[in-house]
Amino acid sequence: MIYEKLLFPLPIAVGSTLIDGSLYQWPDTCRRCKKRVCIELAKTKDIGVCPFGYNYQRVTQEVIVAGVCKENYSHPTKKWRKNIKHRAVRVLESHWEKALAALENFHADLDVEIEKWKEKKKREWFETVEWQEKFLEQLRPEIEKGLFQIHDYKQLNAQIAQNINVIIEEKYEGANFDEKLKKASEQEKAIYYATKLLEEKLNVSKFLYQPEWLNESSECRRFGVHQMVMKYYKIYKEMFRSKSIEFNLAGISYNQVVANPQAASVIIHTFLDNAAKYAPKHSQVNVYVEDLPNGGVQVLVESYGPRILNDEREKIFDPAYRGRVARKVSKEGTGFGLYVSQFIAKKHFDSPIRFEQEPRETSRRGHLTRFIMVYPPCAPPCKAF
Amino acid sequence: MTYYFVHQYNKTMLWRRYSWPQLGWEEIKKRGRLLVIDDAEFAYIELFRRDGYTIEQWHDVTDLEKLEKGGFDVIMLDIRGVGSEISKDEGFGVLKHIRKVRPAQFVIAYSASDYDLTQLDFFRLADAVMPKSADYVDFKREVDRLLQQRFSVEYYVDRITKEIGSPSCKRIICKAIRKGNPHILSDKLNRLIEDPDVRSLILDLLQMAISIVSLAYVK
Repeated sequence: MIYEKLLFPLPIAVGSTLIDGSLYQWPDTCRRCKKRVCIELAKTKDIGVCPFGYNYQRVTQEVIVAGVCKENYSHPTKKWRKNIKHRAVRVLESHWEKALAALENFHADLDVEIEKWKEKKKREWFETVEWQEKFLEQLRPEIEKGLFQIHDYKQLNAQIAQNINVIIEEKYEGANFDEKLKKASEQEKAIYYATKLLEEKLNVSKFLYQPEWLNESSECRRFGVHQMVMKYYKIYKEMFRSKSIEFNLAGISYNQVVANPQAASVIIHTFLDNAAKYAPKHSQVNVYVEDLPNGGVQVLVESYGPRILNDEREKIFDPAYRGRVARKVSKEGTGFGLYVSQFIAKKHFDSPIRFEQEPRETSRRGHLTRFIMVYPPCAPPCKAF
Repeated sequence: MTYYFVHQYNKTMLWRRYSWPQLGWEEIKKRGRLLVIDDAEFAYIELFRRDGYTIEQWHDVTDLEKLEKGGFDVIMLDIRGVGSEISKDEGFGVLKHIRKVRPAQFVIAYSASDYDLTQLDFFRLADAVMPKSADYVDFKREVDRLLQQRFSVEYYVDRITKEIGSPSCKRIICKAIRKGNPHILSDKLNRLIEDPDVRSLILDLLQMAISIVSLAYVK
């Protein structure tokens, strides 16, 4: 019970339970008392006195202070006054008032509030870049192992990518590679796009394992966000088509931003990857690209997806966290995509990812979910570019 | 009248600026020698050959002397699994060596380790960086760009001017290239550049520019 941890100085009765105060304990007489007049009679907040001469007073609906005497309280009979003089401990009037006032302000659901407060503080800490860097530091030993594996995966992927390129280049006629790719068989296209996707996924781990890349000014370039989105549009178009999902790219953007293009692309790639994972068949995925007056570019990816419960709205950016409904919908996923993206968005762009979801299911396809990233004209680590 | 003279002067200057002999793209492609150093098979070799390039692959650094003498115009170099006999840094060691003996050599660094921050110096030393899984057209684009630069006197003039850091030197650089005599620039270099590495880079660039001019006249 929360009152037991309270360190309240006076003895209290909560319901029929007697709890000792931190300074004054319940007298043995009270513990033996069977009548419990204090509990029975304390209906109002008026101070009363029990047959043993102790004062009692109701503080809240469930708590009564009793088992001690309040100084200057005028006891009704002389005999009582005499008896109590020798037996009871007296509490100064000012102490009594203060203690009762404190108890009145105390909420029984304090433990819930403390948990809420802790959660809030935890969230604030989780959102700081320092914590994220510390977390990554703890991953270091695994990183060394991971780096070797990534090299092997990348090496294998490069071999597949080069060979499918050779096949398409040699087999089909066309003025450029795009034309040849259009003529390629479905299987060849699937292999080609799979290598591109795998490369992108492996790039995500680059920032997870070595976030120092994000501060590397030599990696900064000037590039068009719209062109970058177009690249992903091409890669994901096939995947969405195979899942019977309508994939639309709307809006036009001419602004160019200065940033690490690979870091920027991880965010778009993650948005689309999540849409591909959770959007149900025959639904729509829409991407809107828009220039902002300050020279930045906003990218919004909209798709139907699983409900993100209220208590999860901030947790979805935590490492290895996946929404409860999302876990039911798709077993695949590490829970690192949004975490790395948000980390990049904060650390490299100083512009956190925003997320919106329709609270009500407007369609049987799920909840309309929007992920929004605003790319500033120049990422802070690229100021010297 | 004044306008006429200014116009004539400008014409002369423009003519002077663009008077360097130019090799045609087909000629460049024919003359350009490409080398791939990679322990794994580089699948694009056949495509480069199909498109008229002269290219060969070494699975390790088999002829260091040829590299040092500038036997190739563009080198595509992998970082892992090659050059372990030359340096414990493998490909990075090879690149450092190339930069020391032939600072103006064009090198494309490509690797499956492009995620590794510890390899950043390797990529910084190169003229271009490619992911190993890049499309053939991306490799070709970079190779074409570097070959164009390799056979363009203007590129060398601009680069030497930039390295010296004094635009007023442009005339003397052009003179040294036209006369085919790098010593014309030596005095100026000794006075302006303290770093011996930069001096050697400039002289290497100058030598390459002179060789292009003579190549074009021989043609």
